[in-house]
Amino acid sequence: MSLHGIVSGQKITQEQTAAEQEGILDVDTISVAYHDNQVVSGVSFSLNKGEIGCLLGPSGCGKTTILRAIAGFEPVTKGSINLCDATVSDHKFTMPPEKRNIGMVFQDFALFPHLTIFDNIAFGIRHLSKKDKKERVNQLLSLINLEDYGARYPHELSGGQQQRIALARGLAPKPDLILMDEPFSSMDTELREELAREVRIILKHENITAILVTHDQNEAFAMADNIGVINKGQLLQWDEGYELYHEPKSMFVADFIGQGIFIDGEMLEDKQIKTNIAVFEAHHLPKDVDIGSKVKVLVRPDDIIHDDCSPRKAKILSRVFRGANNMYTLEMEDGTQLLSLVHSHHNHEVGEELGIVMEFEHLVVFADS
Amino acid sequence: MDNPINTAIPEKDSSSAFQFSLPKLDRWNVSIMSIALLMALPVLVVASFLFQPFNENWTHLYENLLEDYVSNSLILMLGVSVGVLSMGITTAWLTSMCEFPLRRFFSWALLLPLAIPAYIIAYTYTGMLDFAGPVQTLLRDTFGWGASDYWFPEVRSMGGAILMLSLVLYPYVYMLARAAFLEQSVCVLEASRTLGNSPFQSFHRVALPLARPAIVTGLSLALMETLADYGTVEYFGIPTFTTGIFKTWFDVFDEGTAAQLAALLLSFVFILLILEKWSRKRAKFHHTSTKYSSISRFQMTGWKAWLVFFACLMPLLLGFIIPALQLLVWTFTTAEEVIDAAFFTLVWNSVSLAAMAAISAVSIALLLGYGKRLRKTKAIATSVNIAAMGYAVPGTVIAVGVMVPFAWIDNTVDAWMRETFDVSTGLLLSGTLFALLFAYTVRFLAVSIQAIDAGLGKIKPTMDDAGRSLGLTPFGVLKNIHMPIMKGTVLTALLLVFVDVLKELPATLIMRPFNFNTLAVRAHEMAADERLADAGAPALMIVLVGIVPVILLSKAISHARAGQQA
Repeated sequence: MSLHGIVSGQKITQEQTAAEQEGILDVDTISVAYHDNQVVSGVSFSLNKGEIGCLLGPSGCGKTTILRAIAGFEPVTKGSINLCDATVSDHKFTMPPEKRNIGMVFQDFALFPHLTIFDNIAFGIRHLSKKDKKERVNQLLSLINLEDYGARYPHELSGGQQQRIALARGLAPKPDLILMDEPFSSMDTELREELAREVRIILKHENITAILVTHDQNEAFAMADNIGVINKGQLLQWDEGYELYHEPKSMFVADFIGQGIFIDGEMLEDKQIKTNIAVFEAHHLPKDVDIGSKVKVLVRPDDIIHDDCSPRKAKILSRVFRGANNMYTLEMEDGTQLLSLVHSHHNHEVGEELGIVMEFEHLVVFADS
Repeated sequence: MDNPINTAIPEKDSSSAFQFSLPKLDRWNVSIMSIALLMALPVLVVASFLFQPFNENWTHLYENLLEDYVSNSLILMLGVSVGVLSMGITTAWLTSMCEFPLRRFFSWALLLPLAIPAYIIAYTYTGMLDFAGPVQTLLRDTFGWGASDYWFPEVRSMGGAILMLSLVLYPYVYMLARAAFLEQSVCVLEASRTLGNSPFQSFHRVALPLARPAIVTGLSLALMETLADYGTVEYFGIPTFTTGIFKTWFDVFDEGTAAQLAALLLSFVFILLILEKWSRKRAKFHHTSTKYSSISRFQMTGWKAWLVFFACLMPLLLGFIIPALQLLVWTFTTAEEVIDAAFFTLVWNSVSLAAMAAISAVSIALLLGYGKRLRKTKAIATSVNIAAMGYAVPGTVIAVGVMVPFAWIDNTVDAWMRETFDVSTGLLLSGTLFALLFAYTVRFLAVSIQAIDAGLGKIKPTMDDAGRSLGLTPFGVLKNIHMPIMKGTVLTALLLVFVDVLKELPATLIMRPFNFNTLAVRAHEMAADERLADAGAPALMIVLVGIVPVILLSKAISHARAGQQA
């Protein structure tokens, strides 16, 4: 199968009707606590066969704990985890990890240094016959493009290669679900997205259900079908990347995903919002916003379009060159600061006036607490 | 131990002090705690004697001897500290960071003195440097001196004892410091050089502080050996705690006072133990990088190379080559009378005893070390720490602590059996090999726990998780992942215990079954009878058997760099 076929095949999976989909993982309002310290509270989400989910959040938000609870390394204090229609964790029962048929890829890969690559991958399929074992390992080695590396030892391989071996080892026993804990964080930045894409292709090819834990949104976008944003032990939003960016349901998600600036506004009649720079019309409004109440409006850099002819001018405070484009920090007359992503050819110096147009496709508004 | 992220070292989390929630009654918890209690039994028994009434023997001891015991022990410890630190650190740094003639040879040969027990080196130097020994005889013959015409340093003195102990105990510091130096990432040293430090300054300001926990551990081991020493101080006539305990036990037949003296020695050791734990806590190990490149050693040339060469040669020469040659000479001159069937029985006794003790201690250490990793509760960690206390406790103390309760059990059983069935069971436990093996296990368990703990600490916790996620049970993880990765470590632990048991003298003297002799006991008896030459053969055997594990051990540590195969 060509790689393109695999990638486009994923679209079909998403569009399948609910009846055709086979639920693999169902995390039902779980809480995890260490002693009296509540680390995860009331988290729910589910994954269907072949879906790739991602838990995204800042460090210490509890995302790894959720992953470890799914793997069976941490007991849950409330709620339940169901894997292939069997309850594997609830408040009084924790099925040991070795019985869950779950694969795991670790941040430091955790390849066994005393075993060859072949034996590492074969570790989870000890029960197979010699021939089947060999066949499966070789199949996986070719899947990850490391056919000739079976006899080597982990320390002889580069980080990216070790990473793929770790994935192959996790895939070898054909797990129902594979869990990946910050699998790319020890890689070079340039490598990360490329690897994330490669891993996605492999997972989609094998139709493996997977969960990735990361703090890097680009990694999440590159790999996952659905992304859950976690903060302080709570799942704030479970959505596709596009929704998270354009329709964040909370200020934390709006702030955490992508770049942007919140500007103060006040509710007028007819869904009109008055701000210092303009009056906007909102399509969706949070429930608790009444006329006259204070709100925050999210302005993304891609909402501010550069147009030399525009009468609206802003002063350039700083500029970050990013190759294809420039990220400008702008200041309006009243002191409001905005970000704008501008094509690289429009090269303006700091201190210059820049003509801008505001184009909101999705105006995101939050009640100002 | 050296990976601060994973092993939950209990002392660290001060926030939950006294949060001693009752552990669940599962297999691991129960077995670990009962083993720990069993291992702590001798120490607890001895300590309990502090709360027993003191009799007139104690009063005599207190008024006449105790001051000597205390001051002699302190002077001995101070002297040995200076000796082992200077020799151990210097040689460790030179062999790991400098290139000079025979460096590879020295890097393992410097461990050889470990094969010679302090009392044996004391016998050899006494034999050589005594008035009637070859050195003084040669001096008198050459210069025509009479007995009172010249001054010659007295070997059998405090200074002599310090020198003897330092010469055979420095390998503890050498071994651990060298391993620490090799484990340090070269990056930090190079960073230090780029920040304007000379090689020596880098050593002083970066390498040494990083290696401090290892060095302190080595020193504490050496000092505990010093406190535990009986053979040397007894032979040199220096009154210390251990000789006092023996005197009270065998000459005064006062078990209670012997145990009380042992308890006092124990409190001495305890201070040392606390010091060690404290410094360990202060200086945590940090692997500064996971990327290891091989060390490029400083090439020594000219007079510097010779200086370095001699700095490494002297400890080896004095601590091993000369005494070993002396033993060889004695063995050859006395071989005809000494080496007979009875001698081979001695060898067999010693080797089998040491092997059994090593297996017993290492199996328990594996169980405890892994249990601690598995159940990261305070109760478990405390239990393991208590079980590991034995290394600090002198053999004399443990012997007393085992003999007293075992004798009590024997007497009780015997009395009950006689009363009920009119059968005398005699000595079931005390005076058996089982009692001796138990004492050895208690004494040397910590040696193996330390090695195993260090080995386990190097295995990242994700390895366990990976194993579990690939279908292994907790015990399977120990068997299929930890044990193979730690092959070197387990071997090291086995050998360390083996050598230690082989050399052990005081506990064996007190506890051996009637008519059961080991090499160490024989050497001691011969030396005590002023038949030093006859002590040569058994002593040489101890040294020879001790050499093999030392060589294997040296291989293990030179491969101990993380990232490579263990």
